[in-house]
Amino acid sequence: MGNIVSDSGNKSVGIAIDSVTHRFGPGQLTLDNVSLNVEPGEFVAIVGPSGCGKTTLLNLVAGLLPTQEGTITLANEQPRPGHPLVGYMLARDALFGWRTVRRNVELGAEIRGQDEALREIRAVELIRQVGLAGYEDAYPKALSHGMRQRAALARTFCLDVAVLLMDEPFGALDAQTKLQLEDLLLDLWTRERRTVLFVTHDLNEALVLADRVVVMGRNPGTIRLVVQVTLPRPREARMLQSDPHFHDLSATIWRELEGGMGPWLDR
Amino acid sequence: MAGPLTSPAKRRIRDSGTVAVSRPIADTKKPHGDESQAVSAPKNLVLMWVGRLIVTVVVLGVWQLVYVKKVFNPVVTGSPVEVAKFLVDNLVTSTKLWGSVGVTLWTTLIAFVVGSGLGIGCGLLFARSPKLEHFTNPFFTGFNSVPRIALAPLFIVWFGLSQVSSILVGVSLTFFILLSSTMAGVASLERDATTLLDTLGATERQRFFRATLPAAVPTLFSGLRLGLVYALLGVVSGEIIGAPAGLGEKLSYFAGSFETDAVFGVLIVLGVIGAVIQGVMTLAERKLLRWQ
Repeated sequence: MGNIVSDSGNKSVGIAIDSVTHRFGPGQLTLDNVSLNVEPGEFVAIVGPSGCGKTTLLNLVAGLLPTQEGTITLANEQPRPGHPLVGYMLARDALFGWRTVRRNVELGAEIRGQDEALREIRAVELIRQVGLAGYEDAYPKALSHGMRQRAALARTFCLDVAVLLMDEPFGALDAQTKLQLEDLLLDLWTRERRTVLFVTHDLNEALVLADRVVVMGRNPGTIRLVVQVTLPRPREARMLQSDPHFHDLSATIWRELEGGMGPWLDR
Repeated sequence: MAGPLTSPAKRRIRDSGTVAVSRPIADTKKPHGDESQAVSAPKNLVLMWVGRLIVTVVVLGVWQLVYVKKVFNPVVTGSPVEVAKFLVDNLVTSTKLWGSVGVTLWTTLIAFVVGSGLGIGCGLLFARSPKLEHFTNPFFTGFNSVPRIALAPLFIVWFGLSQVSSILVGVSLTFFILLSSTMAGVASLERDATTLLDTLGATERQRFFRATLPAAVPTLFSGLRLGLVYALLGVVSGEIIGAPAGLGEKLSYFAGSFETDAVFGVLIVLGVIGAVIQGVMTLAERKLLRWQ
Protein backbone atom coordinates (compact mmCIF):
# COMPACT_ATOMS: atom_id res chain seq x y z
CA MET A 1 0.00 0.00 0.00
CA GLY A 2 1.33 3.41 -0.87
CA ASN A 3 2.09 5.81 1.88
CA ILE A 4 0.30 9.10 2.09
CA VAL A 5 2.42 12.09 1.23
CA SER A 6 2.85 13.60 4.64
CA ASP A 7 5.27 15.87 6.39
CA SER A 8 3.62 15.88 9.79
CA GLY A 9 5.78 13.07 11.15
CA ASN A 10 8.16 15.34 12.99
CA LYS A 11 5.52 17.75 14.24
CA SER A 12 4.64 15.70 17.31
CA VAL A 13 2.65 17.82 19.70
CA GLY A 14 1.17 17.05 23.10
CA ILE A 15 -1.70 18.67 24.93
CA ALA A 16 -1.44 19.90 28.51
CA ILE A 17 -4.68 20.64 30.34
CA ASP A 18 -4.09 22.09 33.78
CA SER A 19 -6.79 22.75 36.42
CA VAL A 20 -9.44 23.82 33.92
CA THR A 21 -12.76 24.96 35.31
CA HIS A 22 -15.61 26.08 33.08
CA ARG A 23 -19.03 27.52 33.83
CA PHE A 24 -21.93 28.11 31.46
CA GLY A 25 -23.66 30.73 33.55
CA PRO A 26 -23.65 31.14 37.33
CA GLY A 27 -23.98 27.94 39.34
CA GLN A 28 -23.61 25.70 36.31
CA LEU A 29 -20.25 24.08 36.83
CA THR A 30 -19.59 22.19 33.58
CA LEU A 31 -15.95 21.38 34.25
CA ASP A 32 -14.45 21.33 37.73
CA ASN A 33 -10.68 21.45 38.05
CA VAL A 34 -9.86 19.09 35.18
CA SER A 35 -6.23 18.23 34.46
CA LEU A 36 -5.01 15.93 31.72
CA ASN A 37 -1.76 15.45 29.83
CA VAL A 38 -1.81 13.95 26.37
CA GLU A 39 1.59 12.81 25.17
CA PRO A 40 2.73 13.47 21.62
CA GLY A 41 1.41 10.68 19.39
CA GLU A 42 -0.88 9.34 22.10
CA PHE A 43 -4.49 8.34 21.46
CA VAL A 44 -6.65 9.43 24.38
CA ALA A 45 -10.37 8.82 24.54
CA ILE A 46 -12.68 10.73 26.84
CA VAL A 47 -15.78 8.79 27.85
CA GLY A 48 -18.71 10.01 29.86
CA PRO A 49 -22.45 10.47 29.96
CA SER A 50 -24.01 13.41 28.18
CA GLY A 51 -23.59 16.59 30.16
CA CYS A 52 -20.28 15.62 31.73
CA GLY A 53 -18.46 18.36 29.87
CA LYS A 54 -16.41 16.14 27.56
CA THR A 55 -17.36 18.09 24.45
CA THR A 56 -16.80 21.35 26.33
CA LEU A 57 -13.30 20.18 27.19
CA LEU A 58 -12.66 19.32 23.53
CA ASN A 59 -13.99 22.68 22.39
CA LEU A 60 -11.72 24.43 24.88
CA VAL A 61 -8.72 22.60 23.43
CA ALA A 62 -9.93 23.50 19.93
CA GLY A 63 -10.18 27.14 20.96
CA LEU A 64 -13.85 27.26 20.04
CA LEU A 65 -14.55 28.34 23.63
CA PRO A 66 -12.34 30.71 25.65
CA THR A 67 -10.60 29.18 28.66
CA GLN A 68 -12.10 30.66 31.82
CA GLU A 69 -9.94 29.18 34.57
CA GLY A 70 -6.79 27.10 34.37
CA THR A 71 -4.50 26.72 31.37
CA ILE A 72 -4.40 24.66 28.21
CA THR A 73 -1.15 24.44 26.28
CA LEU A 74 -0.72 23.03 22.82
CA ALA A 75 2.60 23.34 20.99
CA ASN A 76 3.67 26.03 23.50
CA GLU A 77 0.60 28.05 22.63
CA GLN A 78 -2.81 28.73 24.01
CA PRO A 79 -5.64 27.14 22.03
CA ARG A 80 -7.09 29.14 19.17
CA PRO A 81 -9.55 28.20 16.46
CA GLY A 82 -7.88 27.38 13.17
CA HIS A 83 -4.54 26.42 14.75
CA PRO A 84 -2.51 25.06 11.81
CA LEU A 85 -1.42 21.99 13.77
CA VAL A 86 -4.94 21.01 14.84
CA GLY A 87 -7.73 19.22 12.99
CA TYR A 88 -11.28 18.81 14.25
CA MET A 89 -13.91 16.26 13.32
CA LEU A 90 -17.59 16.45 14.21
CA ALA A 91 -20.31 13.88 14.75
CA ARG A 92 -22.02 15.01 11.60
CA ASP A 93 -20.08 15.03 8.36
CA ALA A 94 -20.66 18.70 7.44
CA LEU A 95 -19.82 17.88 3.83
CA PHE A 96 -20.56 20.69 1.40
CA GLY A 97 -23.31 19.50 -0.95
CA TRP A 98 -22.03 21.55 -3.87
CA ARG A 99 -18.55 20.06 -3.76
CA THR A 100 -17.58 16.66 -5.08
CA VAL A 101 -16.10 14.13 -2.67
CA ARG A 102 -12.57 15.03 -3.74
CA ARG A 103 -13.13 18.76 -3.35
CA ASN A 104 -14.73 18.14 0.04
CA VAL A 105 -11.75 16.10 1.18
CA GLU A 106 -9.47 18.92 0.03
CA LEU A 107 -11.50 21.63 1.78
CA GLY A 108 -9.49 21.93 4.97
CA ALA A 109 -6.15 21.83 3.19
CA GLU A 110 -7.45 24.36 0.67
CA ILE A 111 -8.62 26.79 3.35
CA ARG A 112 -5.28 26.53 5.09
CA GLY A 113 -3.55 27.35 1.84
CA GLN A 114 -1.70 24.08 1.29
CA ASP A 115 -0.12 23.43 -2.06
CA GLU A 116 -2.75 22.53 -4.65
CA ALA A 117 -0.95 19.66 -6.37
CA LEU A 118 0.10 18.11 -3.07
CA ARG A 119 -3.35 18.29 -1.50
CA GLU A 120 -4.91 16.72 -4.57
CA ILE A 121 -2.52 13.77 -4.43
CA ARG A 122 -3.25 13.38 -0.72
CA ALA A 123 -6.99 13.68 -1.23
CA VAL A 124 -7.11 11.01 -3.93
CA GLU A 125 -4.91 8.67 -1.88
CA LEU A 126 -7.04 9.17 1.25
CA ILE A 127 -10.27 8.65 -0.66
CA ARG A 128 -8.84 5.31 -1.75
CA GLN A 129 -7.80 4.43 1.79
CA VAL A 130 -11.22 5.16 3.27
CA GLY A 131 -12.74 2.91 0.61
CA LEU A 132 -14.38 5.55 -1.56
CA ALA A 133 -12.32 4.98 -4.70
CA GLY A 134 -14.52 5.64 -7.71
CA TYR A 135 -16.56 8.25 -5.83
CA GLU A 136 -14.05 11.09 -6.24
CA ASP A 137 -16.38 13.07 -8.49
CA ALA A 138 -19.65 12.09 -6.83
CA TYR A 139 -21.64 14.66 -4.89
CA PRO A 140 -22.40 13.93 -1.21
CA LYS A 141 -26.06 13.51 -2.04
CA ALA A 142 -25.22 10.22 -3.75
CA LEU A 143 -23.47 8.81 -0.66
CA SER A 144 -24.88 6.82 2.23
CA HIS A 145 -24.44 8.02 5.78
CA GLY A 146 -21.45 5.79 6.42
CA MET A 147 -19.80 6.84 3.16
CA ARG A 148 -20.29 10.48 4.02
CA GLN A 149 -18.54 9.98 7.34
CA ARG A 150 -15.73 8.16 5.54
CA ALA A 151 -15.32 11.24 3.37
CA ALA A 152 -15.30 13.43 6.49
CA LEU A 153 -12.58 11.21 7.97
CA ALA A 154 -10.55 11.60 4.78
CA ARG A 155 -11.06 15.38 4.96
CA THR A 156 -9.78 15.42 8.53
CA PHE A 157 -6.65 13.41 7.65
CA CYS A 158 -6.05 15.43 4.49
CA LEU A 159 -5.26 18.37 6.77
CA ASP A 160 -1.98 16.66 7.66
CA VAL A 161 -1.89 18.00 11.22
CA ALA A 162 -0.22 16.77 14.41
CA VAL A 163 -3.28 16.92 16.66
CA LEU A 164 -6.73 15.53 15.91
CA LEU A 165 -9.70 16.50 18.05
CA MET A 166 -12.70 14.25 17.41
CA ASP A 167 -16.14 14.86 18.85
CA GLU A 168 -18.10 11.59 18.69
CA PRO A 169 -17.22 11.19 15.02
CA PHE A 170 -19.02 7.85 14.75
CA GLY A 171 -21.82 8.62 17.19
CA ALA A 172 -24.50 8.87 14.54
CA LEU A 173 -23.67 5.62 12.73
CA ASP A 174 -25.24 2.19 13.03
CA ALA A 175 -23.32 -0.44 14.98
CA GLN A 176 -21.77 -2.21 12.01
CA THR A 177 -20.71 0.89 10.12
CA LYS A 178 -19.28 2.20 13.36
CA LEU A 179 -16.98 -0.83 13.74
CA GLN A 180 -15.84 -0.47 10.12
CA LEU A 181 -14.98 3.16 10.61
CA GLU A 182 -13.20 2.48 13.90
CA ASP A 183 -10.97 0.04 12.04
CA LEU A 184 -10.46 2.62 9.35
CA LEU A 185 -9.44 5.21 11.92
CA LEU A 186 -7.04 2.74 13.57
CA ASP A 187 -5.57 1.98 10.17
CA LEU A 188 -5.06 5.64 9.26
CA TRP A 189 -3.70 6.45 12.71
CA THR A 190 -1.24 3.55 12.58
CA ARG A 191 0.12 4.86 9.27
CA GLU A 192 0.36 8.44 10.41
CA ARG A 193 0.78 8.71 14.15
CA ARG A 194 -0.98 11.74 15.50
CA THR A 195 -1.97 12.97 18.90
CA VAL A 196 -5.68 12.21 19.18
CA LEU A 197 -8.22 13.43 21.68
CA PHE A 198 -11.34 11.43 20.99
CA VAL A 199 -14.68 12.14 22.70
CA THR A 200 -17.30 9.40 22.86
CA HIS A 201 -20.07 8.11 25.08
CA ASP A 202 -19.26 4.54 24.09
CA LEU A 203 -16.82 2.86 26.51
CA ASN A 204 -16.16 -0.05 24.15
CA GLU A 205 -15.31 2.30 21.32
CA ALA A 206 -12.87 4.10 23.60
CA LEU A 207 -11.20 0.83 24.62
CA VAL A 208 -10.88 -0.33 21.03
CA LEU A 209 -9.18 2.84 19.88
CA ALA A 210 -7.28 4.47 22.68
CA ASP A 211 -3.99 4.11 24.53
CA ARG A 212 -5.63 5.70 27.52
CA VAL A 213 -9.29 6.09 28.43
CA VAL A 214 -10.36 9.02 30.57
CA VAL A 215 -13.74 8.48 32.22
CA MET A 216 -15.64 11.58 33.19
CA GLY A 217 -18.67 12.04 35.42
CA ARG A 218 -21.10 14.91 35.57
CA ASN A 219 -22.45 17.42 38.10
CA PRO A 220 -19.83 18.72 38.18
CA GLY A 221 -17.80 17.46 35.22
CA THR A 222 -14.67 15.87 36.62
CA ILE A 223 -12.29 13.08 35.66
CA ARG A 224 -13.33 9.99 37.64
CA LEU A 225 -10.98 7.38 36.29
CA VAL A 226 -8.05 7.06 33.91
CA VAL A 227 -7.43 3.62 32.43
CA GLN A 228 -4.30 2.56 30.58
CA VAL A 229 -5.52 0.25 27.83
CA THR A 230 -3.18 -2.72 27.68
CA LEU A 231 -4.69 -4.41 24.63
CA PRO A 232 -1.90 -5.06 22.14
CA ARG A 233 -1.72 -3.20 18.85
CA PRO A 234 -2.43 -3.45 16.00
CA ARG A 235 -6.04 -3.87 17.06
CA GLU A 236 -9.08 -4.63 15.05
CA ALA A 237 -12.43 -3.40 16.28
CA ARG A 238 -14.32 -6.28 14.73
CA MET A 239 -11.95 -8.91 16.13
CA LEU A 240 -12.03 -7.41 19.61
CA GLN A 241 -15.80 -7.80 19.79
CA SER A 242 -15.26 -11.53 20.36
CA ASP A 243 -12.13 -11.19 22.54
CA PRO A 244 -12.76 -12.25 26.19
CA HIS A 245 -9.82 -10.10 27.32
CA PHE A 246 -11.51 -7.02 25.89
CA HIS A 247 -14.80 -7.80 27.60
CA ASP A 248 -13.05 -8.39 30.93
CA LEU A 249 -11.49 -4.96 30.69
CA SER A 250 -14.79 -3.37 29.84
CA ALA A 251 -16.56 -5.15 32.71
CA THR A 252 -13.85 -4.18 35.21
CA ILE A 253 -14.18 -0.52 34.34
CA TRP A 254 -17.96 -0.70 34.62
CA ARG A 255 -17.65 -2.34 38.02
CA GLU A 256 -15.22 0.25 39.26
CA LEU A 257 -17.45 3.03 38.07
CA GLU A 258 -20.55 1.64 39.66
CA GLY A 259 -18.84 0.61 42.91
CA GLY A 260 -16.51 3.50 43.49
CA MET A 261 -18.44 6.44 42.18
CA GLY A 262 -22.09 5.57 42.19
CA PRO A 263 -24.21 5.15 39.10
CA TRP A 264 -22.51 7.32 36.53
CA LEU A 265 -25.17 7.16 33.88
CA ASP A 266 -27.87 8.72 36.02
CA ARG A 267 -26.99 11.33 38.53
CA MET B 1 -48.11 39.05 9.50
CA ALA B 2 -44.36 39.32 9.59
CA GLY B 3 -42.74 40.90 6.55
CA PRO B 4 -40.53 38.89 4.25
CA LEU B 5 -37.51 40.15 6.17
CA THR B 6 -38.36 38.04 9.18
CA SER B 7 -39.55 35.02 7.30
CA PRO B 8 -37.68 31.98 8.58
CA ALA B 9 -34.83 30.66 6.53
CA LYS B 10 -35.71 27.83 4.26
CA ARG B 11 -33.97 24.99 6.03
CA ARG B 12 -32.89 22.13 3.92
CA ILE B 13 -33.40 18.96 5.83
CA ARG B 14 -30.21 17.01 6.24
CA ASP B 15 -30.59 13.56 4.89
CA SER B 16 -30.80 11.19 7.80
CA GLY B 17 -29.47 7.70 8.21
CA THR B 18 -31.45 6.21 5.37
CA VAL B 19 -28.98 4.83 2.92
CA ALA B 20 -30.80 4.58 -0.35
CA VAL B 21 -34.14 5.78 -1.59
CA SER B 22 -36.31 2.79 -2.26
CA ARG B 23 -37.07 2.39 -5.91
CA PRO B 24 -40.65 2.02 -7.03
CA ILE B 25 -41.17 -1.69 -7.35
CA ALA B 26 -42.72 -2.90 -10.55
CA ASP B 27 -46.24 -4.21 -10.15
CA THR B 28 -45.77 -7.73 -8.86
CA LYS B 29 -49.33 -8.85 -9.42
CA LYS B 30 -48.91 -8.96 -13.15
CA PRO B 31 -46.05 -11.20 -14.28
CA HIS B 32 -45.40 -9.03 -17.34
CA GLY B 33 -45.95 -5.72 -15.55
CA ASP B 34 -42.65 -4.29 -16.78
CA GLU B 35 -43.32 -4.87 -20.45
CA SER B 36 -46.85 -3.54 -20.45
CA GLN B 37 -45.64 -0.41 -18.62
CA ALA B 38 -42.85 0.17 -21.09
CA VAL B 39 -45.35 0.07 -23.94
CA SER B 40 -48.09 2.05 -22.28
CA ALA B 41 -45.98 5.01 -21.04
CA PRO B 42 -45.44 6.71 -24.44
CA LYS B 43 -48.90 5.67 -25.52
CA ASN B 44 -50.35 7.49 -22.50
CA LEU B 45 -48.34 10.55 -23.39
CA VAL B 46 -49.65 10.57 -26.96
CA LEU B 47 -53.20 10.15 -25.68
CA MET B 48 -52.66 12.99 -23.25
CA TRP B 49 -51.53 15.35 -26.00
CA VAL B 50 -54.34 14.27 -28.31
CA GLY B 51 -56.75 15.04 -25.45
CA ARG B 52 -55.20 18.47 -24.90
CA LEU B 53 -55.42 19.24 -28.61
CA ILE B 54 -59.09 18.23 -28.68
CA VAL B 55 -59.88 20.52 -25.73
CA THR B 56 -58.06 23.42 -27.41
CA VAL B 57 -59.85 22.89 -30.72
CA VAL B 58 -63.25 22.62 -29.00
CA VAL B 59 -62.72 25.83 -26.97
CA LEU B 60 -61.52 27.77 -30.01
CA GLY B 61 -64.37 26.30 -32.10
CA VAL B 62 -67.02 27.33 -29.59
CA TRP B 63 -65.42 30.77 -29.37
CA GLN B 64 -65.45 31.17 -33.18
CA LEU B 65 -69.04 29.92 -33.28
CA VAL B 66 -70.11 32.47 -30.63
CA TYR B 67 -68.49 35.14 -32.82
CA VAL B 68 -70.01 33.99 -36.11
CA LYS B 69 -73.51 33.47 -34.66
CA LYS B 70 -73.24 36.83 -32.84
CA VAL B 71 -74.34 35.24 -29.53
CA PHE B 72 -72.77 38.26 -27.79
CA ASN B 73 -71.61 41.54 -29.26
CA PRO B 74 -68.80 40.44 -31.64
CA VAL B 75 -66.77 43.55 -30.76
CA VAL B 76 -66.61 42.33 -27.16
CA THR B 77 -65.93 38.62 -27.77
CA GLY B 78 -63.45 38.87 -30.61
CA SER B 79 -62.63 35.67 -32.49
CA PRO B 80 -59.71 33.23 -32.60
CA VAL B 81 -59.38 33.68 -36.34
CA GLU B 82 -59.15 37.46 -35.98
CA VAL B 83 -56.62 37.09 -33.14
CA ALA B 84 -54.48 34.85 -35.34
CA LYS B 85 -54.78 37.38 -38.17
CA PHE B 86 -53.67 40.16 -35.83
CA LEU B 87 -50.65 38.16 -34.69
CA VAL B 88 -49.62 37.32 -38.27
CA ASP B 89 -50.17 40.91 -39.45
CA ASN B 90 -48.19 42.44 -36.62
CA LEU B 91 -45.44 39.90 -36.05
CA VAL B 92 -44.93 38.10 -39.37
CA THR B 93 -45.99 40.20 -42.38
CA SER B 94 -45.10 43.41 -40.58
CA THR B 95 -42.95 44.08 -37.50
CA LYS B 96 -45.34 46.54 -35.82
CA LEU B 97 -45.54 44.64 -32.51
CA TRP B 98 -41.85 43.66 -32.34
CA GLY B 99 -40.95 47.19 -31.25
CA SER B 100 -43.28 46.90 -28.25
CA VAL B 101 -41.94 43.44 -27.46
CA GLY B 102 -38.41 44.85 -27.51
CA VAL B 103 -39.31 47.79 -25.27
CA THR B 104 -41.03 45.58 -22.70
CA LEU B 105 -38.20 43.04 -22.69
CA TRP B 106 -35.54 45.71 -22.25
CA THR B 107 -37.50 47.46 -19.54
CA THR B 108 -38.06 44.16 -17.75
CA LEU B 109 -34.39 43.27 -17.99
CA ILE B 110 -33.35 46.64 -16.53
CA ALA B 111 -35.92 46.36 -13.73
CA PHE B 112 -34.77 42.80 -13.02
CA VAL B 113 -31.07 43.61 -12.95
CA VAL B 114 -31.47 46.76 -10.84
CA GLY B 115 -34.07 45.22 -8.50
CA SER B 116 -32.24 41.94 -7.91
CA GLY B 117 -28.87 43.72 -7.66
CA LEU B 118 -30.17 46.03 -4.95
CA GLY B 119 -32.07 43.18 -3.27
CA ILE B 120 -29.08 40.84 -3.14
CA GLY B 121 -26.80 43.69 -2.03
CA CYS B 122 -29.14 44.71 0.77
CA GLY B 123 -29.69 41.07 1.73
CA LEU B 124 -25.95 40.45 2.06
CA LEU B 125 -25.52 43.68 4.00
CA PHE B 126 -28.31 42.74 6.40
CA ALA B 127 -26.91 39.21 6.76
CA ARG B 128 -23.61 40.75 7.84
CA SER B 129 -25.17 43.28 10.14
CA PRO B 130 -28.25 41.96 11.95
CA LYS B 131 -28.45 45.26 13.85
CA LEU B 132 -28.96 47.20 10.64
CA GLU B 133 -31.57 44.68 9.56
CA HIS B 134 -33.33 45.00 12.88
CA PHE B 135 -33.27 48.80 12.72
CA THR B 136 -34.60 49.06 9.16
CA ASN B 137 -37.06 46.17 9.41
CA PRO B 138 -40.20 48.28 10.10
CA PHE B 139 -39.43 50.61 7.19
CA PHE B 140 -38.97 47.81 4.70
CA THR B 141 -41.91 45.84 6.03
CA GLY B 142 -44.08 48.93 5.77
CA PHE B 143 -42.95 49.68 2.22
CA ASN B 144 -43.38 46.04 1.24
CA SER B 145 -46.95 46.11 2.54
CA VAL B 146 -48.00 48.77 0.02
CA PRO B 147 -49.36 47.21 -3.17
CA ARG B 148 -46.53 48.36 -5.45
CA ILE B 149 -48.78 48.91 -8.49
CA ALA B 150 -50.40 51.68 -6.44
CA LEU B 151 -47.08 53.54 -6.58
CA ALA B 152 -47.20 53.81 -10.38
CA PRO B 153 -49.27 57.06 -10.43
CA LEU B 154 -46.74 58.65 -8.06
CA PHE B 155 -43.84 57.55 -10.25
CA ILE B 156 -45.63 59.07 -13.25
CA VAL B 157 -45.97 62.40 -11.38
CA TRP B 158 -42.25 62.28 -10.61
CA PHE B 159 -40.83 60.94 -13.86
CA GLY B 160 -43.58 61.65 -16.38
CA LEU B 161 -44.90 59.25 -18.97
CA SER B 162 -41.62 57.43 -19.49
CA GLN B 163 -40.29 53.89 -19.12
CA VAL B 164 -38.66 55.01 -15.87
CA SER B 165 -41.99 54.68 -14.05
CA SER B 166 -42.47 51.12 -15.35
CA ILE B 167 -38.90 50.22 -14.41
CA LEU B 168 -39.45 51.52 -10.89
CA VAL B 169 -42.61 49.47 -10.41
CA GLY B 170 -40.70 46.38 -11.56
CA VAL B 171 -37.72 47.22 -9.33
CA SER B 172 -39.94 47.76 -6.28
CA LEU B 173 -41.35 44.25 -6.70
CA THR B 174 -38.15 42.41 -7.59
CA PHE B 175 -36.13 44.10 -4.84
CA PHE B 176 -38.10 42.62 -1.95
CA ILE B 177 -38.22 39.14 -3.40
CA LEU B 178 -34.44 39.05 -3.76
CA LEU B 179 -33.92 40.73 -0.39
CA SER B 180 -35.79 38.01 1.47
CA SER B 181 -34.45 35.10 -0.58
CA THR B 182 -30.87 36.34 -0.15
CA MET B 183 -31.30 36.54 3.60
CA ALA B 184 -32.93 33.13 3.74
CA GLY B 185 -30.19 31.71 1.50
CA VAL B 186 -27.36 33.11 3.59
CA ALA B 187 -29.00 31.74 6.73
CA SER B 188 -29.25 28.29 5.18
CA LEU B 189 -25.59 27.46 5.84
CA GLU B 190 -25.69 24.72 8.44
CA ARG B 191 -24.24 25.16 11.92
CA ASP B 192 -21.88 22.23 11.46
CA ALA B 193 -20.40 23.89 8.40
CA THR B 194 -19.83 27.05 10.43
CA THR B 195 -18.12 25.07 13.20
CA LEU B 196 -15.96 23.29 10.65
CA LEU B 197 -14.90 26.62 9.13
CA ASP B 198 -14.16 27.97 12.63
CA THR B 199 -11.87 25.05 13.39
CA LEU B 200 -10.15 25.43 10.04
CA GLY B 201 -9.53 29.10 10.72
CA ALA B 202 -11.26 30.26 7.55
CA THR B 203 -11.08 33.97 6.74
CA GLU B 204 -14.24 36.02 6.17
CA ARG B 205 -13.55 35.93 2.45
CA GLN B 206 -13.12 32.16 2.37
CA ARG B 207 -16.27 31.72 4.42
CA PHE B 208 -18.28 33.84 2.04
CA PHE B 209 -17.06 32.47 -1.27
CA ARG B 210 -16.54 28.83 -0.29
CA ALA B 211 -19.55 28.29 1.97
CA THR B 212 -22.10 31.05 2.47
CA LEU B 213 -22.55 31.95 -1.18
CA PRO B 214 -22.73 28.42 -2.67
CA ALA B 215 -25.05 27.35 0.15
CA ALA B 216 -27.30 30.31 -0.67
CA VAL B 217 -27.44 29.64 -4.41
CA PRO B 218 -30.50 27.32 -4.47
CA THR B 219 -32.61 29.72 -2.45
CA LEU B 220 -31.19 32.68 -4.33
CA PHE B 221 -32.07 31.05 -7.61
CA SER B 222 -35.71 30.49 -6.76
CA GLY B 223 -35.71 34.15 -5.75
CA LEU B 224 -34.26 35.17 -9.13
CA ARG B 225 -36.81 33.11 -11.00
CA LEU B 226 -39.68 34.68 -9.10
CA GLY B 227 -38.01 38.10 -9.32
CA LEU B 228 -37.89 37.94 -13.12
CA VAL B 229 -41.56 37.02 -13.32
CA TYR B 230 -42.41 39.91 -11.00
CA ALA B 231 -40.19 42.32 -12.94
CA LEU B 232 -42.29 41.53 -16.03
CA LEU B 233 -45.48 41.92 -14.00
CA GLY B 234 -44.35 45.27 -12.60
CA VAL B 235 -43.19 46.61 -15.95
CA VAL B 236 -46.36 45.62 -17.81
CA SER B 237 -48.50 47.09 -15.02
CA GLY B 238 -46.50 50.29 -15.15
CA GLU B 239 -46.90 50.43 -18.93
CA ILE B 240 -50.67 49.90 -18.65
CA ILE B 241 -50.99 52.79 -16.22
CA GLY B 242 -48.83 55.14 -18.22
CA ALA B 243 -45.91 54.67 -20.60
CA PRO B 244 -45.00 55.89 -24.09
CA ALA B 245 -44.37 52.35 -25.42
CA GLY B 246 -44.34 48.67 -24.59
CA LEU B 247 -46.79 45.78 -24.64
CA GLY B 248 -48.63 47.13 -21.59
CA GLU B 249 -49.14 50.45 -23.32
CA LYS B 250 -50.44 48.59 -26.42
CA LEU B 251 -52.77 46.56 -24.25
CA SER B 252 -54.18 49.69 -22.68
CA TYR B 253 -54.52 51.39 -26.08
CA PHE B 254 -56.23 48.44 -27.81
CA ALA B 255 -58.61 47.89 -24.90
CA GLY B 256 -59.47 51.59 -24.93
CA SER B 257 -60.38 51.43 -28.60
CA PHE B 258 -62.35 48.16 -28.24
CA GLU B 259 -59.93 46.14 -30.39
CA THR B 260 -60.56 42.90 -28.49
CA ASP B 261 -58.69 40.71 -31.01
CA ALA B 262 -55.59 42.85 -30.57
CA VAL B 263 -55.90 42.68 -26.78
CA PHE B 264 -56.00 38.87 -26.96
CA GLY B 265 -53.07 38.92 -29.37
CA VAL B 266 -50.93 40.98 -26.97
CA LEU B 267 -51.95 38.73 -24.07
CA ILE B 268 -50.76 35.68 -26.01
CA VAL B 269 -47.44 37.39 -26.73
CA LEU B 270 -47.06 38.19 -23.01
CA GLY B 271 -47.88 34.59 -22.14
CA VAL B 272 -45.21 33.33 -24.51
CA ILE B 273 -42.65 35.77 -23.07
CA GLY B 274 -43.48 34.58 -19.54
CA ALA B 275 -43.16 30.94 -20.55
CA VAL B 276 -39.83 31.52 -22.30
CA ILE B 277 -38.46 33.37 -19.25
CA GLN B 278 -39.46 30.47 -17.00
CA GLY B 279 -37.94 27.96 -19.39
CA VAL B 280 -34.63 29.80 -19.57
CA MET B 281 -34.46 30.06 -15.77
CA THR B 282 -35.25 26.35 -15.36
CA LEU B 283 -32.47 25.47 -17.78
CA ALA B 284 -29.94 27.69 -16.05
CA GLU B 285 -31.00 26.32 -12.68
CA ARG B 286 -30.56 22.74 -13.80
CA LYS B 287 -27.10 23.51 -15.11
CA LEU B 288 -26.01 25.41 -12.01
CA LEU B 289 -27.52 23.14 -9.39
CA ARG B 290 -26.52 19.74 -10.70
CA TRP B 291 -25.30 18.79 -7.23
CA GLN B 292 -28.80 18.97 -5.84
